[in-house]
Amino acid sequence: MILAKRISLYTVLVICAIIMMFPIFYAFSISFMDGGEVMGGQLLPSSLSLDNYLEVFQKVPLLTYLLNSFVTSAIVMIGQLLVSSLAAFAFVFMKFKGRDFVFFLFISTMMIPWEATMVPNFMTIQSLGWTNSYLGLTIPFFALAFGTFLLRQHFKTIPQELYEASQVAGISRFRFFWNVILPVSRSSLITLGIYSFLTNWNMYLWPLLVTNTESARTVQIGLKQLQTQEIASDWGIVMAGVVIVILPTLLLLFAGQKKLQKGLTQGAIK
Amino acid sequence: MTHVELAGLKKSYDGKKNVIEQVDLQLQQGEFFVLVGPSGCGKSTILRMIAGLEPITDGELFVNGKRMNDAPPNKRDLSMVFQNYALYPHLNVEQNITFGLHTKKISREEQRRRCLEAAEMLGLADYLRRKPRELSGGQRQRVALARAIVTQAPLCLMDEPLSNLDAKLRTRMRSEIRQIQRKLGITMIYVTHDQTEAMTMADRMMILHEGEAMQIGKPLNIYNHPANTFVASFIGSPAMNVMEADVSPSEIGLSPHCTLPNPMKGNVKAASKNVQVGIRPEHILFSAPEQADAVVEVVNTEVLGTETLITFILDNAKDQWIARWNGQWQFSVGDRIPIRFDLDAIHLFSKDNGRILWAANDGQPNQTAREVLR
Repeated sequence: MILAKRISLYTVLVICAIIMMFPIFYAFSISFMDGGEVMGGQLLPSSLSLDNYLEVFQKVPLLTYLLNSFVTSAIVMIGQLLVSSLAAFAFVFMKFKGRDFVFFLFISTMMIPWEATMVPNFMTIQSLGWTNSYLGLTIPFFALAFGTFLLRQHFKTIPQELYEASQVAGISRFRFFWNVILPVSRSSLITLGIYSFLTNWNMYLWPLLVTNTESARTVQIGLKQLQTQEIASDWGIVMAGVVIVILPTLLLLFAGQKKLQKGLTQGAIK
Repeated sequence: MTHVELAGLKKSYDGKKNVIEQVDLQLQQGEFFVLVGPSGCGKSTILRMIAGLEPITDGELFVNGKRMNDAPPNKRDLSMVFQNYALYPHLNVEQNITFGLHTKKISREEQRRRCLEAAEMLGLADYLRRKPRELSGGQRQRVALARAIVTQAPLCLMDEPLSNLDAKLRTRMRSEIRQIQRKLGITMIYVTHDQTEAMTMADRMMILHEGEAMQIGKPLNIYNHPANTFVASFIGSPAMNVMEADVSPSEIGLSPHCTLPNPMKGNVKAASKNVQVGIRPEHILFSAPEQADAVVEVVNTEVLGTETLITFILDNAKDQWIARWNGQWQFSVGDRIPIRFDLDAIHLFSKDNGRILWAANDGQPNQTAREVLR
């Protein structure tokens, strides 16, 4: 009985996993095929040639795009970690009038879709002359209501006595934040860091708006460009590009999966 | 020399109701002072006001004669031990002990020397590299204590530091804290809800109830001369028997079959007031039948080995009395035994406001009992 139940459960899981994984697997497989094989509807390449990979680097400046994406994602990640943790610290450890009200106002911005604020943001960036630069790609994302919320929930589990003890010892507020709060909340910070890096890595619309030169574009735009250029001719090259772009995402997920899970559920349980 | 002085200290959170009502107190240099009271009586609030973690609503706080109402905690030259120890979980024992010393401009070598000295004193020398989570409750408690010691602050505040330890360890730490305090000569303000801790550790103590100071004085004086029924029943375990009585100028009637001579007969005015009689369990004695004040019915006995607690009733089954006798006494429930009240140890309290009217030892509340606030 238990065995039958288990078998049926795993069957369902395996089917779901196949459905989920098939596009990625197929993209990976196409990246090794030449044009004829793709058109022939083959599932697996007849030989493992890396020609497509070499070609994709020649067709578009993929290395520049990768670098751009990496740098902007890293800057946004650091910026979000700093701003969110400082804001969360204020919401937990500093007493001021209307603190909770301000916090809820802060949180309520999560209900406004990012696309709705895109036009004013774009105009601001444009008038500041930040288009085609890292500034325009990163600074609008520094303040993150979700990140503040996540860290606030974790900071709330840190006993107030730690703060009081450091006040008695004469530790400054910032030093307490830096030397106590940040190390103690390491797992939540890693979670938020991975989350913000991936979100920014996968961002498409905003980089499309604020960049129009090859030197400033990010990989997601590069992929689209590849597709437009190469459509109908060589899917193998496009898929080789896709595989290169999702690799960092996968690596980061594998490395940080445990922390990510732990951090996302931590605030909810405690 | 006066070290800490509270003058008319008040605290209110909403601006209307005072949670701390007018506390006046003077602490001498090197004194071990205990704030004791049931939970919610405001003792921790007073401590936090002295530490500067809670703003003072009204009244004044002086440390070494200097007004300190608005000084930040680190300018008050004190150390503090918290109930949950407040150890930094990511630092090891040594880092925890020396945390914050750099703000006092103490060199690294001096920090290390002080840390080793304190660790030696508290038996932590082998654990300096460990993280707090790898320590037992008692060891964590010692780390918190060591952190207070290394600052060499002349004033140390402790907020129920022993309440998370088991009974055996608590007894040991009690005496250790007391010895260290004496050795270093620091002034200590110690908050607890445990009257045993207060009795055994304090040079002087203050009993608090609902934000009001009930009595300030030396533990034994408070035990022997409680200022009111609250103090009488709070200090001492088991508590003092406090029962209502019918009083006439010549007699106190505890029950239809038990009357005692009224000791206040000299004082006619007080003698006819409504009173409550208070007598400690150790002052109710086993008696020869012909000298007995009453024959009572046993409802429970607890034999503790060196002593026996006997719960009994006179006539009214609702009023249960407790007597404490040395030795091992075996009574069955329902046994009737003759007892005698030690009239030299009897207290009479006003029934209206609970204040002491008359205490037997010397006929009048003595000097120390008059130190009493209310």
